[in-house]
Amino acid sequence: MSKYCMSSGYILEAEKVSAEYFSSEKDIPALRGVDISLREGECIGIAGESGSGKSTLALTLLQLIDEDEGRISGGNIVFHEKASGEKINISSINKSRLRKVRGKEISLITQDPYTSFNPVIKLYRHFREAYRVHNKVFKERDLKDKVSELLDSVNLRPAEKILNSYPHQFSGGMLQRASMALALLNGPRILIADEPTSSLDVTIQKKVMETLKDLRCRYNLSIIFISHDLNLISEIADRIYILYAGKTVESGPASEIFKNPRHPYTEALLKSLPKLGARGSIISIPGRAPQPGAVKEGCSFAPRCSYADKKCFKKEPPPVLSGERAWACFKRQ
Amino acid sequence: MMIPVLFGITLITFFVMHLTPGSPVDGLMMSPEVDAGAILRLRETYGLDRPLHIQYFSWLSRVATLNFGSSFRDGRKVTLKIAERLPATILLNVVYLFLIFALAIPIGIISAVKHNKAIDKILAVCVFAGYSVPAFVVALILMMYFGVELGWLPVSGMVSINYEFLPFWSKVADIASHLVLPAVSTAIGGLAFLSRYLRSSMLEVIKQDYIKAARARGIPEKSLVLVHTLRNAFIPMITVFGLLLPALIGGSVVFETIFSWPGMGRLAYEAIMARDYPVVMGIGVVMAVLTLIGNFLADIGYAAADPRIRYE
Amino acid sequence: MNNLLKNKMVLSGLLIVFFFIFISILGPHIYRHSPVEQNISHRLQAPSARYIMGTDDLGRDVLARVIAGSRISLSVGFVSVGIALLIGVPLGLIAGFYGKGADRVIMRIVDIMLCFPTIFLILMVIAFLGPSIYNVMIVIGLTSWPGLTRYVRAETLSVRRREYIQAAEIMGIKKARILFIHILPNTIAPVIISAALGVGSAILAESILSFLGLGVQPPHPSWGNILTLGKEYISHNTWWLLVFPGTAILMTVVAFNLIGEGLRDVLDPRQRKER
Ligand SMILES: Nc1ncnc2c1ncn2[C@@H]1O[C@H](COP(=O)(O)OP(=O)(O)OP(=O)(O)O)[C@@H](O)[C@H]1O
Ligand SMILES: [Mg+2]
Repeated sequence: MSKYCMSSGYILEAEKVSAEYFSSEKDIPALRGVDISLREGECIGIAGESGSGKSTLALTLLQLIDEDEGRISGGNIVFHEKASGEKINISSINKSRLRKVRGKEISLITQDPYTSFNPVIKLYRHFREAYRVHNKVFKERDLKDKVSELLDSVNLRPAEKILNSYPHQFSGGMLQRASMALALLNGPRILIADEPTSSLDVTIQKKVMETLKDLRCRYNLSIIFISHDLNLISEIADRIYILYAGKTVESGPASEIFKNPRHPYTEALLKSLPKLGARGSIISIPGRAPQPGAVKEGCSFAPRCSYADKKCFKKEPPPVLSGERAWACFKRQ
Repeated sequence: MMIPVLFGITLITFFVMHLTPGSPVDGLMMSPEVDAGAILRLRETYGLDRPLHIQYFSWLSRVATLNFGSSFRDGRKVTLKIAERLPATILLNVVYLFLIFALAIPIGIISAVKHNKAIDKILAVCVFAGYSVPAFVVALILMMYFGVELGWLPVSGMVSINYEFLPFWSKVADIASHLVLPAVSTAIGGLAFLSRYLRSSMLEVIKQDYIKAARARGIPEKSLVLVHTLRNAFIPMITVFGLLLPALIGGSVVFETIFSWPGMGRLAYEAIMARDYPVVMGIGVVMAVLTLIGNFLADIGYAAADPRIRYE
Repeated sequence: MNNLLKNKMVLSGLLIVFFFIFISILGPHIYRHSPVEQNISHRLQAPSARYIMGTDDLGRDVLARVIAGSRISLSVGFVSVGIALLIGVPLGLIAGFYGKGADRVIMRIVDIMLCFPTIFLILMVIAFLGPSIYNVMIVIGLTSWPGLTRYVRAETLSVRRREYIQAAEIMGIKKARILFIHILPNTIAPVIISAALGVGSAILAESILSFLGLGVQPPHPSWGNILTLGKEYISHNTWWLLVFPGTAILMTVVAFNLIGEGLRDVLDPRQRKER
């Protein structure tokens, strides 16, 4: 686990965040009251199977769920601004203030780097556009210098040539590093990385992870690192949240969770991890991750849980708190 | 692609005309001005007594050297007749194409941005109407209302009778006023088609992840639409435009005829009605070539707009 | 079927079409005035109680002519689309199913046809064949199949790739059988959609041809040739000669477009465009 020093001040706190997607029959509840908090300089990992709501959480934090596709149905997301010490409630500010947070305070990088760039626009224009939004007046020179420095810090050289190319001319790994540079252009304090390596080859994955750790130190970033791969998360995260069917089933310091998982789902996840060295884990837990719409009463993991009894199917387990840790299970009190 | 299409089109044109009952000079024989000697000469010149395929190839070889022969009606060179009609056709086409694009783009943008809001729904209905309304009927009604009832606009031709004597700017104004009705009528169908297409492709693009990614960088909606969405949505439109071209060119026959616009479309109608074979064939070839050039330009435009194609 | 009727576009389109079918069949029996009888002393009369839609240059009853014209328009629409279906569907099936040389030849012909300004081709053929209602039907049919062929071919290609078709092929079921039993039914949705849209454009094409003097010839009535007179006497402000037949054309064309577009929403979600 990482040994970065951290101050105890919170930079982002989200409580009871819920979001749903519209569908022709019933709305799909993709997030059902998730709490997360992020401290200054900290890296938290969000883990969970496909469909557990990880990407939805990332989008919700920036209020990016499309109006046509779904809505954020509840919760508070509070961002602590550094300069003023002001608390900004992201979930209720107006559009133009929200735009000042996006990219400037909180940046997002996504799974597939090819989808974060407009295919018909050169890289430089992406940088320039993003810079101009947050800096009304600027000198072209300053921007060029800044971008070169950033590209340098993600090991992309020579800047001139990179910036003059179209997205499709890059390999996935290169483009993902370019998207990190772009995300950091306006000096955000929080970086949300949604499976930044899962579309890449294993060897390139490693390089991108190195770059990410490097950037974290250099720019004193607080990171929300999302992945279905607990091995990857263990490389970088200080604390972990385990998501299941749109709920946090367990959270706590990474080292403790790895040593001593409390929730049966976490346990199963860890058991299914390939031993260190053998990468590219495939989670194999009996049964299938539930479709969020299909969640019935009781604990949503109960159908797949080997400890479950009648009670688990009837009532939702309330969270058990113990120091920095929390989990939701009747069987582990 | 170009060559076989051109070949096919000339073939169709040629055989359609020659497989019809009666020889091309039959029509001429009925008209009293033409004497028997002239008909005989015509038969010889065009080799109308020879087998069809020989006629076709001899015609084709002359076409290859831009020699379409002379009109049956007035004996003037077909190339000349077409050339003197081209400027009017080009003028009309440029104007209504400009109209189409100048209106389709804002309509597409507004209805994509205000997706599902009232204004979008209203525009959607207008666009549906515009594209299923028979444009030539609209042309006639406009002609009656603005030309006759209100008397605001001239309803036929390209210039007024006193055109020769007008000062320069009045000449321009004269032509412009003659242009309004034909251009508006011709534009209706294409406008509806393109704005509808632009709207749906913008809605498609706006759902793309790179738009979401740009939004995550704090880019305001206005630039999202104008810089990212519009540009990307425009690319398929270039191809669609290429597909639309034959219909537009075909439409010019109808609209030029309705408004007595002295262009190639009207020449085509006159020649068809008079069975003036050389002229009809010449125009067929010119129209086909124009369509092909249009498609070719569309391909080039597509490559220019989409780097993914350009670099392949 | 229920779904179809719930779709407002399809429903209103169908209502209009049934209205015109009704008129074309029963109209002449209800409104018993001759569409061809001339009455020079009543020429170019504006609409009145006696002549609800006015009279034309020879004093013929415009309402009677519009009613009679509906029969022409609808029959041209249906017959020429029928012809287009007879050509376009088999060619599309063959191109999509057998592929290779057949596909290449057929699609090349389609490309050529699509490149050609159709209305010019139609005008040319009619002018040389001589104007008559039958020629109009045939020529419109003969020139409007290529779009259909494209659709059917694309659909055939996509159905062919499905597993059960491939399984059937491997099991040695006769190709012709696969084609008729399995593939043909799957192409029905796009065929119906383009047929509905096709009837609309055929009606439009007929009215243009008649308007230009190349379709139905006077004294036989058609919406197009009433418009011709409307244009001829435009300086006399004979608006009824434009407005009534024009509205009839507009309504039928819009109706068939409504049906086609509505059907596309219901039957073919894949190519549904946001509206
Ligand atoms: N645009 C959308 N419209 C409808 N449902 C959606 C949409 N996006 C996601 N969902 C549904 O919401 C649930 C959560 O999706 P989400 O993308 O957040 O999962 P995830 O944990 O990121 O999974 P993955 O590991 O596959 O990225 C899934 O069941 C998904 O089907
Ligand atoms: Mg995801």
